[in-house]
Amino acid sequence: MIGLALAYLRDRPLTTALNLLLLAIAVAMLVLLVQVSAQASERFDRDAQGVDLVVGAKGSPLQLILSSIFHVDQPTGNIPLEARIALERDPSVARVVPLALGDNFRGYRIVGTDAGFAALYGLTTARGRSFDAPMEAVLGAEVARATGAEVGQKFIGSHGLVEEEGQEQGHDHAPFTTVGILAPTGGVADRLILTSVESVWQVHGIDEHHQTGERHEDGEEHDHHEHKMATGRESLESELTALLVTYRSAAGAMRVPTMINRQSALQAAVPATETARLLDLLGASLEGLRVFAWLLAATGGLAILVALVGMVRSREGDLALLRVMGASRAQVFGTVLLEGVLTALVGTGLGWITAHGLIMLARANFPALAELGLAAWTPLPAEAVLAAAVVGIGALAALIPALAVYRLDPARVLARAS
Amino acid sequence: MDIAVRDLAKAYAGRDVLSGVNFNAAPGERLLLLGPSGSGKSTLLNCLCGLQRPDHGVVTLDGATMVSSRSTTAADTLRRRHFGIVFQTLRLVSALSLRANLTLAQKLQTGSTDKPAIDRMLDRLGIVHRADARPHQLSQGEAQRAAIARALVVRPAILVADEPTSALDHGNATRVAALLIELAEETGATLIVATHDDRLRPHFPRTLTLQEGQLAV
Ligand SMILES: Nc1ncnc2c1ncn2[C@@H]1O[C@H](COP(=O)(O)OP(=O)(O)OP(=O)(O)O)[C@@H](O)[C@H]1O
Ligand SMILES: [Mg+2]
Repeated sequence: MIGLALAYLRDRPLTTALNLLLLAIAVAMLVLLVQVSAQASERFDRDAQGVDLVVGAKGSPLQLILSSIFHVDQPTGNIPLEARIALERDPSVARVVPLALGDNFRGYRIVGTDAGFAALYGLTTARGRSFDAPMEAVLGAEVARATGAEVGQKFIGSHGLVEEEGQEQGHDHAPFTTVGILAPTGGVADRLILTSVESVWQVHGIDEHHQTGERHEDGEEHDHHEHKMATGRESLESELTALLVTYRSAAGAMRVPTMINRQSALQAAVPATETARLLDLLGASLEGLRVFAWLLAATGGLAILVALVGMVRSREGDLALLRVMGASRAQVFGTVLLEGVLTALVGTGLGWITAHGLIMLARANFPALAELGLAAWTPLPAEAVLAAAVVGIGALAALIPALAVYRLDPARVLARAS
Repeated sequence: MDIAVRDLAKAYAGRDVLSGVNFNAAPGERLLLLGPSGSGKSTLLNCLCGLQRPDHGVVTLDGATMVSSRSTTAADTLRRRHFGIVFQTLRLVSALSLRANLTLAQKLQTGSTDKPAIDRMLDRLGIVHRADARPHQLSQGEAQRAAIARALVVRPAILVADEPTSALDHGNATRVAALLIELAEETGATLIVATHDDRLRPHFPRTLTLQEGQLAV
């Protein structure tokens, strides 16, 4: 019976192709939507885990979260060291992880921090050890893989978040030494280079003297550095970019943000709030597309219905003959139903492959999407539900013509034919 | 198999088409059913195969009731198992090739397929070179022979043919009729052919004529 259903589908290639196309486009859109929203929210959750509050310079709270948790935007500015000390003294605060940002190595952000960062994200070194002395660095798994860097190698950071072509601003006087490589986490840490806060200061302290035309937001040469120079040193302060705060008790959520926001230079942003806002934004823009995609799927179902109704009418003789040859009512019913279900199945399969192929292509061509955490071939439970729904549409569309076939009286068809 | 038709009656909208038809057919017998157009030949054959339910009367196979005015459900199984049917126009399933049609018939009617038998049957009917053609690519004569091949490839005990030659020219008609008789003889099948074509009469030892709903022997 499958062979027969396939033969009928092959018998009208244009209609079949059109129905497949409709369903495939609909499914591809739906899968893409599911993937984008699911992976975005999963990625958001993973990277924001354990961080109750981010403290940084005044500016957009979303930008603060994006830059200090997802590491995709420029920081809002710098904050004084005192802020960290004050927070650490607060009894309702369990942990404060400092971040000093500003440089990158081949587009991978160099993060000045301390051991608290590894503890916060549960990072372990796959090779080598953690950073300790100044100018020692630990590479995220993805950084090591992409750059081919190994433990013991030296590298030079360049200024900014993204590396620009032909950039001449390398801090070539202050090379980092790779002392360790992190085990992969699937989170943002895979694409970061971790070093001590002091190392970041050191790089920029020197920088300040070498490149006078360039404005630096943070920078204080390290006290013990051999290249220490007197000029302009007094005007520089040791500063941080942001602080990742974890509360000890729920009371922290009540007090700490208010305390921070009272200080004119600081702002406190709650990652959960900002990511929720981001997802809402994303969700709203995806909603319209989703409705459109389901309409398309319904159209595909309708197209199957029309095609099968036409098929049943023109194939009445065939179906009567099948009955005469001993096919049961259930069998001819099944043949027609199978045609709808097969069309829906193949259309769904094509759409799924298209969607995931697109994700793969996009990842290959736009690394930024890979950064966002879009995985190419990870099916989600929601996709199974979606596929089942679309196949259900196909089955439903086939049901009406299939029932007509079920009730078909071969004798009447025979009488009409002879 | 012994076929017995008893007291068969059928009316359409109060108009009697068959009224009290009786006849027997012994295993391997060749029987021609004659009658003018509209006399009820097709109706009689359809009732005989259980494709139509009569208003009255029964059809039995070896004494077992196959068709009655109450039910034709037993007929479905018996028809599948014992009948090969050739219709005037419905010859083959249009989406399938000639060979696939025969394969499907075997699968549906016997539950298994016998590829050598299919090729032998097609060869026997002189259409083996058209085995992969689709029904619409066949000529009238080829299609009619294909329908016979489809009906016979399941080795039925009873071969029923409704106007198997009406669409054919004289030469083809005699050839197809001769083939039907030959093959029925070879397989030992009972052959019942309905036609208004008098030319077939000489080929059949026994003729039944339908007139005003009854058989005139
Ligand atoms: N489904 C039906 N509803 C109403 N009348 C019908 C139906 N089928 C057949 N008839 C009528 O019953 C009569 C017998 O029809 P049938 O098809 O059995 O004749 P036939 O002998 O096979 O004719 P032909 O030689 O033209 O094939 C005809 O008058 C026909 O119009
Ligand atoms: Mg007729």
